[in-house]
Amino acid sequence: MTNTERPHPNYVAVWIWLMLLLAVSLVAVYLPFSQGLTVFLILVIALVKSVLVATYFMHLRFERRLILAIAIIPVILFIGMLLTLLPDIVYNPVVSVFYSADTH
Amino acid sequence: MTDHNVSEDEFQEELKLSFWYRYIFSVDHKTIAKQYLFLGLTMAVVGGFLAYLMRSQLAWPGKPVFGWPVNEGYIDSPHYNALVTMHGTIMVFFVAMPILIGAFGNFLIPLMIGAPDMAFPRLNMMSFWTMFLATLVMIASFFVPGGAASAGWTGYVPLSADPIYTGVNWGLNFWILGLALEFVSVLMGGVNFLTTAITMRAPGMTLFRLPLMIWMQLSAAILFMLSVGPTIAAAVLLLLDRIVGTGFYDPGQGGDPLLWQHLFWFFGHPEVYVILLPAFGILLEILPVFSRKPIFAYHIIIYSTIIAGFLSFFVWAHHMFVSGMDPRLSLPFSITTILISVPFAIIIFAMIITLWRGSLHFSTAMLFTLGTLTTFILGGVTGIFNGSPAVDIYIHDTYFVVAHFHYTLFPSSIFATFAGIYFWFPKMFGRMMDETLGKIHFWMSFIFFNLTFLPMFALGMGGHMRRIADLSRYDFLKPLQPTHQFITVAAIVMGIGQIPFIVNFFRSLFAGELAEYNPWRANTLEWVTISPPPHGNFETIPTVYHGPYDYSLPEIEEDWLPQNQPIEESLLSTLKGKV
Amino acid sequence: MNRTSITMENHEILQGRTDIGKIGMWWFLASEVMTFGGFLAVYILYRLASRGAWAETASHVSVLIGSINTVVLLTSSLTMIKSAEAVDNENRNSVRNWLGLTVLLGILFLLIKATEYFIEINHGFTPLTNPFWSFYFALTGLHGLHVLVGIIVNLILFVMACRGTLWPNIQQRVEFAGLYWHFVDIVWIFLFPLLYFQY
Repeated sequence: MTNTERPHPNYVAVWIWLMLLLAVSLVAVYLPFSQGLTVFLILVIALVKSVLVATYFMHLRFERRLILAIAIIPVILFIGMLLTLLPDIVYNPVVSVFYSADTH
Repeated sequence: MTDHNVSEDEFQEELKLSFWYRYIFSVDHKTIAKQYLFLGLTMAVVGGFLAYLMRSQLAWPGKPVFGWPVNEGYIDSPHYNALVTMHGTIMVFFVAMPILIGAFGNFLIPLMIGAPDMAFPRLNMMSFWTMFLATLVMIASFFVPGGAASAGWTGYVPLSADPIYTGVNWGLNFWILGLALEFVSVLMGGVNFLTTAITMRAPGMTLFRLPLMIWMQLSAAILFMLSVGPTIAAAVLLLLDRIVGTGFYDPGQGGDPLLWQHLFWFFGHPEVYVILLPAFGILLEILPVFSRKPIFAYHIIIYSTIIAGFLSFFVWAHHMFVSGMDPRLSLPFSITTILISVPFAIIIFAMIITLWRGSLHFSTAMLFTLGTLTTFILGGVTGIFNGSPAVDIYIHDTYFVVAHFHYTLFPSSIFATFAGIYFWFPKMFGRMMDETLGKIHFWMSFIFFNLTFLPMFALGMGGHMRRIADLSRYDFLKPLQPTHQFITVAAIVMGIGQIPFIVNFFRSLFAGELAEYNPWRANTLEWVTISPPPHGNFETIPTVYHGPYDYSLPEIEEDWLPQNQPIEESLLSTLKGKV
Repeated sequence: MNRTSITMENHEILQGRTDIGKIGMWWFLASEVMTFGGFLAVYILYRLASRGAWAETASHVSVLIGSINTVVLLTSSLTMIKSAEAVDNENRNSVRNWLGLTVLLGILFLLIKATEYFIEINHGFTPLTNPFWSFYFALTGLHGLHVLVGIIVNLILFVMACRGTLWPNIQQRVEFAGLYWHFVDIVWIFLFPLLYFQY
């Protein structure tokens, strides 16, 4: 696709959505959820915002599949790595070294 | 582009490039490839020398070692640890990667796909000079106060996180910096390789007509790009711990030492395939040429590579079975580890079947290829033992592991390199290497390699630990001392056996027989142009009509068919489906 | 025939393959996703393992300042993509203006961040105070370095847009710089809630 043919969606509309989502996330934090659920919510909203930026500002909506693959696979790997390390670092039944906020 | 076939020299004359732009800051991928090759081979000598020092100390502990410049030749434990660390680091990052990826990847990718150069020639030049800088930093680390890094090539914390444990301070910081620069260099190269192969293929060069070397280089680049990130993060955290005093890995400050191991091996395991795949690529190019037969199961090899690449991201904790990590992780990781042996076995079988009933020519390149294949198979099957946690409890951190990875890494990074050099030397330098010297080189390397590393399996099963400087301190190891002496003598003879190669290489460089454009009668596109190829590679970009492995087609008179040679109309229908 | 013309010929061969720079940039970004992902994963894991023990000390970051910075950076993404749109519309003045705005917003982000660091250090929170603050300074510091690199790149493009040297051949570099800039924005989109919110 050459430059002149590339479609340009309404970027300002996307920006407004980003601002709205920012406001939503600010509110969500003050709701009384558990730590794990709060992290999950935060990450979901952040994910939606980044998908918006990636799809419209980075034009992933209009790019060829290869570029979509290059963009998505690292994200999947990152999530996989995080999930795999959860048992060992966070939910380890054997070791519980952690982690007060105080130091030496 | 010039409109007549000129040699590199004539073309450079026309360009009136100064010495600096032609040899030092060249943007031509072929020159850059040669720069990588010379850098890698030089560092191989350095790494080999470090191994010699280690082996001398192991065989005759407490005796002065000839060539060790400090302490009147006595190698004490801290220095031995530094030797072990730097030997591993240099061999993996400054020999295997510059040669297999920097040299062979850079040289072959544009030529094999029919492109005039890489997509980003200046980025290519920067990536070499970054690698060069990284090498300088690593070498400098030997000469700083405290000496070179000595926490193992794996740099486990807390040994690497606090100078108290090793006595090494700046050496380890340089080690981290050198590695970071090396990562940047390979990342730049990876961007170049992938973009070039995706966008600059010659007309007719579809993805499934690409030589397998290209598929392997691309897979390796993707593996590297996607796996190195967490290790860069880990290295930054380590640097902060060391220099600023944070406690990311220090339990006393709330950190977790095991995290380093996870982040390191997340990269460390794909990294060994980053080294292995280009080596396989070399084998897969040489085998059909000297069997005069097509590669068996071309498509299946590609799919197996992709599956293995994908799986390689999920096996890393098999390096950590006895580390104290959550034991529940052992089962899934051992399953994935056993699984990953399947696609690799398929590729090996495909290579063997390629040989079956072929018209074999035992050139030096072919001998090294077969040598790589046989030793790698032994290394590969011993990986299965390591991948089973029950067995690993006994053999982890013993010489069994050392033997295993030398039987896999050494063939892939050294033997395959030699195979590639003997094969592509005519194309790179326009001259032929001497076959007799080559065969002497092969037999000396192959026989004494096996004599060096085969006994180490036994040592490991006997309980001999890794990375200890002086086994005379342990009663149960004393009977193994003669074995160490045997191994050391074999290793030294193997080292001497490299002299024919050095002589051969330099003599052929200046006085070898001039090479024609296709001395091996091979099909791939690099053999279409003159030796060495001029700037821009091809007089006109070739058009590709069929795959790269059409050897010995019964319908064709010649036993080879270059990719840019069209097939006669009358034959096209009979050959449909075969090419 | 000179050195430039060799690379120009390379470009001729590639005529019609305008996405070379784009593909190169995406591969680079993929590796950056893994790097920042590695950092973020470590932080998330440690924070989860602390079972809420970090919440008290983490409450000393200013959500207000962080939110303002988020607005600044998101808006700079908007101005960046507007300049890429202007490139396609061949509106050279617009390109220059939007690029200039992006640079300014980027500098504003860094200034606000620096002020924030100053305030926090004055209150006694340094990278050595405790693990949370080590991560906070390390993560935002690394991100800040990436922002700085982006500002420099955008500044160079801005100067070229002023002088007219972006045209006729390399105006698509605005798009590639934009990809990098949006990536840096996305990293912040994750950093902000993970560092500034209470959990």
